[in-house]
Amino acid sequence: MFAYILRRLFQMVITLFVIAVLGFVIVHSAPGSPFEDTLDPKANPTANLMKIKQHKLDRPLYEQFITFYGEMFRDFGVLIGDVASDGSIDSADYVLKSYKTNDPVVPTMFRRALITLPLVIISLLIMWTLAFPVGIYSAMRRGSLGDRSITLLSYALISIPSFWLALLVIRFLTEDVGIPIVGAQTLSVELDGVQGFMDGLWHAAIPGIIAGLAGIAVMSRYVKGQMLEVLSADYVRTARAKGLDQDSVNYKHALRNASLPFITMLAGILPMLFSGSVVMESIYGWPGLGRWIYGATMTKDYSIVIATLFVTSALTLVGMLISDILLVVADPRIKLG
Amino acid sequence: MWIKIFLFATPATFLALLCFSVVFVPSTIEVARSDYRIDRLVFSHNGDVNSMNPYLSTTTTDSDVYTHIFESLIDLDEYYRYKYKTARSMRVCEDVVVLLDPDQDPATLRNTLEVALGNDLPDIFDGFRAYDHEEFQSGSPLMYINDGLSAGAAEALAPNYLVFRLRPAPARRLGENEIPTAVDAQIISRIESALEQAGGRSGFAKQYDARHCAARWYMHHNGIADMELPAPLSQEVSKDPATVKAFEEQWTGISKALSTEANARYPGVMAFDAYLATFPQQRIGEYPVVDIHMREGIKWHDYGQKLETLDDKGRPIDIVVKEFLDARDVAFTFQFVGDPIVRSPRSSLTELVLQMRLDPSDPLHFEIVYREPYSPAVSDLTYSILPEHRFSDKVWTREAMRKGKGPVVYGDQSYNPREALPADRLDFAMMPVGTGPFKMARLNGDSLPPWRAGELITLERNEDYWDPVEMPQYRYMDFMIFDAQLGQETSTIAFSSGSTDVKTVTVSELDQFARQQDDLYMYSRLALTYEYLAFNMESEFFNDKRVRQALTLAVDVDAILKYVYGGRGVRISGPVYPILDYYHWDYVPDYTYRQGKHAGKTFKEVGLKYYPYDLDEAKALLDEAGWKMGSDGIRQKNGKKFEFALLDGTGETSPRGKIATLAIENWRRLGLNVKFESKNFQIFVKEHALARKFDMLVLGWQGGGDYDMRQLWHSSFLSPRGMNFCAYQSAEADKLMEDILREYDNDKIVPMSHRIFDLIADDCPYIFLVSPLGTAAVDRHFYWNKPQLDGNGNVIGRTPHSLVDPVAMVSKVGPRNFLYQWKRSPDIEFPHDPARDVERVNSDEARALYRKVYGVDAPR
Repeated sequence: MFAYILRRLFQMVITLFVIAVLGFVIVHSAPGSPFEDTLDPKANPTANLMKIKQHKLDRPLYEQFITFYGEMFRDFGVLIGDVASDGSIDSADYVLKSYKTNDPVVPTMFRRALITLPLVIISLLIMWTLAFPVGIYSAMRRGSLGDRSITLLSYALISIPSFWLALLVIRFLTEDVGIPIVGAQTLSVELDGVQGFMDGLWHAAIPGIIAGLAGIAVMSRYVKGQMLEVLSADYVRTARAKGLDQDSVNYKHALRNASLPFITMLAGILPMLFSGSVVMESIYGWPGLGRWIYGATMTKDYSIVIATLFVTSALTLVGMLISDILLVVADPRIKLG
Repeated sequence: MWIKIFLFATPATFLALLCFSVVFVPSTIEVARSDYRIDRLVFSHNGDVNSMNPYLSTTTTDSDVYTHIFESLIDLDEYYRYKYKTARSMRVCEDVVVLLDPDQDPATLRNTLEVALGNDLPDIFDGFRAYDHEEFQSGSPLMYINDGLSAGAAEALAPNYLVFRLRPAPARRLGENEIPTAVDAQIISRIESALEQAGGRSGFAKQYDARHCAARWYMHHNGIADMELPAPLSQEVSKDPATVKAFEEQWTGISKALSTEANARYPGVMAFDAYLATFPQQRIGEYPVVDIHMREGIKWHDYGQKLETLDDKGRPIDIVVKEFLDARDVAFTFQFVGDPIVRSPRSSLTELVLQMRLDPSDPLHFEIVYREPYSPAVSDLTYSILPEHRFSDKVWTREAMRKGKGPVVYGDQSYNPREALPADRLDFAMMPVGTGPFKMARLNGDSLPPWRAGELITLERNEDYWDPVEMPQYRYMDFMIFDAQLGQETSTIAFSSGSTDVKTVTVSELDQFARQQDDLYMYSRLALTYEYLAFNMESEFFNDKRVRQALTLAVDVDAILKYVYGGRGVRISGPVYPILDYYHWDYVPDYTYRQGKHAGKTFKEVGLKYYPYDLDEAKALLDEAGWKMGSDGIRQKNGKKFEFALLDGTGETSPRGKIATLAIENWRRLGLNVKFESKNFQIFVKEHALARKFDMLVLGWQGGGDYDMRQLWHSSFLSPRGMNFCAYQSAEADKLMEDILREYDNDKIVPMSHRIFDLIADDCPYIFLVSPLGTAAVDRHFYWNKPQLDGNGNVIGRTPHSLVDPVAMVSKVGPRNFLYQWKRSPDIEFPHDPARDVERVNSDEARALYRKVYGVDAPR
């Protein structure tokens, strides 16, 4: 086990290095640069050159690569130190800065990720907790009216673009019903205590649910398929023949085996927790990480784009490792090799 | 069994909790009408606010906030004219510095000049003052802060100067904000001709020779006996290379001899060549001077508050700040901006500043000396002033120490806090201190930054604000809240649901907002923007002015105004924003009808002020230019078909895309084959506009309210060097565009700018279209809170009221740019009627309101 993890970690480092190189090269080879000529008659023509020099964009690419990742890892170290010591991440020690706003990238990323977190947690909770009961229900009442309605609804939810749904909901709730949902809390009032918390929950709930809806639809299809497969398996028939009651068969024996493939899907949770949803954050005005990354991509703010790309990739790899280990724990048939 | 219960109960409970949370959420109506909102005005930003230091930030999201915190010496009024802010009075003078020869007596020269110029310019001399170099440098009685005159050579270079000051005539118009100016663009030639007339008495050689003069001063200072110097070469002789070579060799010899001689007397003295390099190349120098008296008693926001600093031994102490705004703050601001360590993106502000002179006897009086006459530089004084006491070395070092960047040993000479702790990491960028009507709200006296990028920023009213004219507007507004959380996508919804109070209305939103008239007010105003179609004048199609005129005649600008901008705009005929004085309203295009009932008549005779929409006339013009209709319905000339692409960088559905569609439709009727091509904006700018690879393009200009038009129209600013991508060239316009920059008197600048306007408009380099109105919407709830006052002026209650005095009400809110909109055209109705707009602004009622609010008459 230990040797396996070590080997996997070693592979991860190599993969990450390849990702780091590829990401860096691709981002830099995209047309345009963060400091483009603008049509501003009052612009200082040397200002752009100064900035290019300041951010070392005139250096050879490999040099930029080394400086960039050097600064990034250094900042991660500082961030960990800061969080561990007093939780304040406002020290002046960070070197990697956004090209556009001159904000330190790493602590801002951390702060923004914390803002995104509630939204993602709600959407994941909704997705994972709802998909199972819905899928199981469909599998067990296969062909019933309920199952067919769920199937229809699922395909509808998969087909409807979530941004459109989100806009409709905003329009309906704020303009017709009159409940504010835009933003991370109700703007322009002071709420505290329980009300403040519940208000925040409400503002995370709607985008969270909408972001999770398509996920529920897709995942409940999987759950249904897996359950159907397992329910027709021999050992289930054996369990029934043994005289076990229906619920024990379905929820203890069948479900456990049907859930195995979903452990693999857990791998995707980690990067998602980090990067959140660009669309929902943009539409619902959340000052989170997704919108930040989107804005940075639009303005070609290289440092933010590459740093978040790297972190997301690293988290994906870590997620995969964890889900593989979990799979071994959950499924005795799988051996580490 | 418990698995089943868990599986079904968990999501149910969770969903129930989420849905239950709605109970705690206030409704939009409660939000908009809550007590919390009474004194608060909420704006939303499309971007994050990053830095509140005006000299480290360049984004408008930042400046929208800090414009309320900081103040400048002068400001721009709603017509973009200068008005006094923290400056009480200001005048623009000119120092003329005449370099003397060593054997010249300043008094004699002064007399000579007085005699020579006295009759000519009786009023403008403030008097002569002779300085020796040291005095000129040290600047008695005013002292110099930023010395760039002859850096590095101050001791060696010590010729005498005669400095005299041109004194401005008193303001011609009555009005507080008139800035008297006395910069004479012709002064050098006048002095030179005066000296010439005076002849030998002045002691000046006819031709100034810097080398000759420098040599004489060099000998004078180093006690070298007079050496014979070669006379300058005459015009004829200087064409002969052999003579010139011999002459230069002679000078090389002299230069060596002088250096050797001087070194023998004073070992280590500067060599002559080095001395010469620092010597003035002109005999007469012109230095515009802005002389400013500031208002007294303006308190910084941190007046009376504690400030962390260091005592003389480097120990941390708290001091209580008692600081008023004065000239040192202005001097510091220039110094800060120009400091290369600070790396301010606005460092070019100080490039033209030669010196900053403080008056030891009056802390509110100072002068700024500019290197050369460039009148738009005066507008730099509209930038914010920083508090010197927050940036002193000790305070800076203290903050650096707190952040672990302090010096190892206090008093270490090599330690510079500006290097150790960059300016953008100072708390000041989060917690700015200014003198404006609002200050950053503190969180319970906490020293932590009250906001972060992407979060809510709260400003609170500055109770000590000094301005008696502006103060009443802010009197009942305690907080302005800037919300950077909302993206562009949601700002409209946030505004309609009452979460924010002010919104810039885009063209596509006009209809929607017009339907909500019960809930909001919309205001429109001319903005610094105009839209145009540009010709590439080097293109084979458009190098003929008649072709450009024909295409202009074929664009239905009124239809564009109506269908693209919903009627909210003003038609323009030349290259200036119509809100500025520099726009020439009386301009009539120089055009004579070729055909039809007006044949042979000019626009002036017909009574037209713009190119009319006239396809027949356009066809006649194209025929005249040789573009005849071909058999396939496309015009051609010498076998070349009239086919080109109209480029755009914003997309087909944008206003510019619509303009292009309307124009192309009309040009097709003339027999031109025009394609519409929309590009990515970056590529459009870089590879087409700036590279001048296009035939026509559709674009607009925004911002920049001064009269320096060289970037767009001067022949030396052809793109890619400048923005003159239509390749416009006119020697006369070039000359005027250069001359206008040396002129400081607005009464002369305006006619000159009109002349430039006429010249450019006559050549039709663009098809000038419209200047769209900027429109802002304000939530109506904001007017429902008129305070009721008791006898002592305390607020005892609030009553709803209608918009009785729009100017007063709206001008009490809003960032500067909105403020202008409202002041300019109070309460414009929708749909917009430009004719009524003008009427309303000039109505007695509006003028009375203006007077009521500002205490002065509105400008006509």
